[in-house]
Amino acid sequence: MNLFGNNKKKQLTFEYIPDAKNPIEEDIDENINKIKSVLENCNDIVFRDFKIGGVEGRRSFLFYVDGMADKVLINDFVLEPLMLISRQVSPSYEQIKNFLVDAVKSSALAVTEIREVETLEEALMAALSGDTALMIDKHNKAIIISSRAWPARGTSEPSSETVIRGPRDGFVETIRMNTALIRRRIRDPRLKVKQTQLGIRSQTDIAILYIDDIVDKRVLDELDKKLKKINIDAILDSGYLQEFLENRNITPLPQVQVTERPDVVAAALYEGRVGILVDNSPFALIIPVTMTAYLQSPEDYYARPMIATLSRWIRVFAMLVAIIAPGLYIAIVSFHPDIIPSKLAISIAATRATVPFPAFIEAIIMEVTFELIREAGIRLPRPIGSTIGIVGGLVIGQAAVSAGIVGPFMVIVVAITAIASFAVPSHEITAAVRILRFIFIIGASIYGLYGIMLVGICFAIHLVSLKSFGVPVMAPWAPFEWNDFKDGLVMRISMKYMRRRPEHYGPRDIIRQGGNKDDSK
Amino acid sequence: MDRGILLDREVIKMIPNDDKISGIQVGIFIYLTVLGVGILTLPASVVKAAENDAWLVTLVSGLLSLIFIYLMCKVGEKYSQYGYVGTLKKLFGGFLGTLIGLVTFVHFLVFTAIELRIFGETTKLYLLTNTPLEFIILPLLLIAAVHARAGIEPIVRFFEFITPMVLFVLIIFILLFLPKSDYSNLRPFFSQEPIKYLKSIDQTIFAYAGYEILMVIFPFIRKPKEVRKPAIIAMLFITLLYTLVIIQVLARFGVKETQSLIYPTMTLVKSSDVPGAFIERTEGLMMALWILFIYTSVISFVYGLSVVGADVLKQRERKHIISLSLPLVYLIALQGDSVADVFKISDLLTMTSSRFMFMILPLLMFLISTIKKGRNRSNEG
Repeated sequence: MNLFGNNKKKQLTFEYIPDAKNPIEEDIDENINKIKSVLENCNDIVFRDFKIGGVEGRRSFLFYVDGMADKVLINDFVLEPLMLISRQVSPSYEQIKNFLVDAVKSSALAVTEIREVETLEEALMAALSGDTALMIDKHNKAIIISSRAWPARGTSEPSSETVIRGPRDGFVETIRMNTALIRRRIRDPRLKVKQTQLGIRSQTDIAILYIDDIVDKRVLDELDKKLKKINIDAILDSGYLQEFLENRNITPLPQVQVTERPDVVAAALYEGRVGILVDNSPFALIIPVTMTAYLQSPEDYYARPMIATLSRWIRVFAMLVAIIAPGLYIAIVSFHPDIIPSKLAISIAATRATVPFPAFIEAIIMEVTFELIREAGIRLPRPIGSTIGIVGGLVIGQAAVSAGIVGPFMVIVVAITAIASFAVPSHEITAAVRILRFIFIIGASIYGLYGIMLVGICFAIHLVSLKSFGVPVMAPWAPFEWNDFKDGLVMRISMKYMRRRPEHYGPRDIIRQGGNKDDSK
Repeated sequence: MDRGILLDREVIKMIPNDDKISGIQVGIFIYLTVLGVGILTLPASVVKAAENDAWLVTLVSGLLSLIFIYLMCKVGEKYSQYGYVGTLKKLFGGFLGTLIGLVTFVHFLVFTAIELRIFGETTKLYLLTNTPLEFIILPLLLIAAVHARAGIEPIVRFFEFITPMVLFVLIIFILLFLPKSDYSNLRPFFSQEPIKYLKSIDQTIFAYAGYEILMVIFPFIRKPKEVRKPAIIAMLFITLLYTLVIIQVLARFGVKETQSLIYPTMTLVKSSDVPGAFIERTEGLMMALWILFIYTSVISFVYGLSVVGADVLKQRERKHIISLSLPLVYLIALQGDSVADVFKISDLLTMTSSRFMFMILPLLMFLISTIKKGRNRSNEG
């Protein structure tokens, strides 16, 4: 099938197939040819041919990815000892050439982590991950020198989950740094960090974190099953993975928690949940999740209990307002104006007298405009972003009302809704609320208050039937559990009295605070 | 003890869809099933029958229904693994058991329909004056159908989810009406002939309709022995609530006026002023919140009829029973032209199937099961 003659010239002696196991040959030239043919046109790969122990010495060969490996380390602690220092000190090359490889491993490579691999594919994969592969003539293994170092963003305050009081460090794009951030908070050998690769081509590192004697093994098993089923070319962000972990995709509500904060992950691990880190993503996943976890902010645990309880009330209220406020307004204005005080009803009617649309259309106009402003505001670079604010505020707030397209009360309702939706701590829930709001608007415009109740009932049924890795999303509310409710949706008691871990996550060791003898473990 | 709780937890999580419920969940189930349209119409009928002593009659008949619940639990504990129709067959023999099962099915069917109809009428009256009755009833019935297909566990979890809200509504409901009432309207006490008390108790006990569902859900209870207490507490709560409502209605309106009202409870709500007056007319809002109670009753009955229907027809799939009987429920719900017609039908039902369903049947079942037990024991000896 050669369409072009020139293809004939280069004979591929070796073709890369993932999961194949081609052994490394003793003859170094063969290995070099194979690797160079695979990595043809990969100009970011550095190949280095050299001899150990002077010009008479053994031929060696190393390769790494430029920019992903630490050049200084390779120069000073790999190449220099092998090429230069080995010439000057005893034993000389002649004396040790029979056990050269052992000598190199044990006393020449001044780096902390080396390992040996037996196949070309492993060597290639290691090099492509940022390590350096070293091959020595007449030796059928490759030495992998851990040399990963690439320009990485330093840890900074997570922009999606800011707190006033609490740690300011957030995850970064490098998985190793992220595991270190968590390990710093859990100095327990029982914290396990199981690492695998996902994605046939991307070979993205995935780390599964859990505390061995707390975690519910069934969650781990289910996770394992789901991970094994994934057969995708690339995982670019934890968002890719999230969709494979959720049972139901046709729902606005997430069944996996997403966070940028190592303290949130650490707290979840201590509760017996499982954290998942994905390389190249500053967002960690936590399973299982409940609605309670979504409406909590890490600050709840750093602030005093009464204040935390108050802010939880505010958040639940904000979520309610964000979901039903426009619907309620439509229901009252177009079906039941008698419910509100007559003076208010009259003034609403007076402002709406010039508006040519029914309340439903009015609400849709305003909500869609608001969503437009919000979407545009996210995309725009910051200096231009303020323009949107001015345009949006002026055009919608002022002009729309004076032009008689919408009534001022509708503007107030939409504004309150918008503010309320930003008071919900989780971005995922805010996004879900946007969809729900429109459903409630439709329900209210058909059946009024009855419609709101109908949609509410449907939504409640959906909520209680959702499960995240076997845990009902509405736990500990439905099914109700008093022990867990103490630190639930609407209250947080003092740390002193949170003596047990949340039961609905099914932790195997339930005691958080040792009290009497058989409690402490 | 901790490990015990853990084990229980593990059972729940290991079989996530075992479709069984716990004792407390049964209590919630009973509570929300019985609370329905009954409370809207109850005061009128009781006051008609017992006048000043309506509250006493309500209290006594509520306490009487506790006895029947106790009997149901006694029978249910013993025969929980057979299911409702299975138990009937065991106790009454194959033919009679199936027949009683069929009666139960029809009872649930008609009851659902009446519940829906009264709900539709009140909603039309207080919320949606221009919407046709057909369109008010339909969505609620459809949601109930889809929900009931999912099994008892999602139903009960939904009940649990709304319980805090329901309690909140009830507390407001009671607080609103306490101040402005004239309790001298309740006097004189014990003014009726004794025979009249008995008659009105016999009538009032049907306001507590709905707890017969307990007989049906017994096979779905994880630990049947733990049901008695929550079920009785739930019934006690309802009794207190009903009594309180009747006292309030009587205190506010007096006997003569109450007798002339169709929905005295709603009128009571209407007559109250909310302090601070952000809400001017409470009855619309109350009606909207009351939809929750109606829905919980309807879904329970739909579920009950699906279970009984499937057992009678020896069908394993309850879902088909729901799909098939829904149009029937819908049609029955639309029978009759006015509220008065509906009340006539409901009275007829009250006098026949209801009396049988939750007075005679539990008693019979209990007696027969006791006799059988005794006979078995003597056989063994």
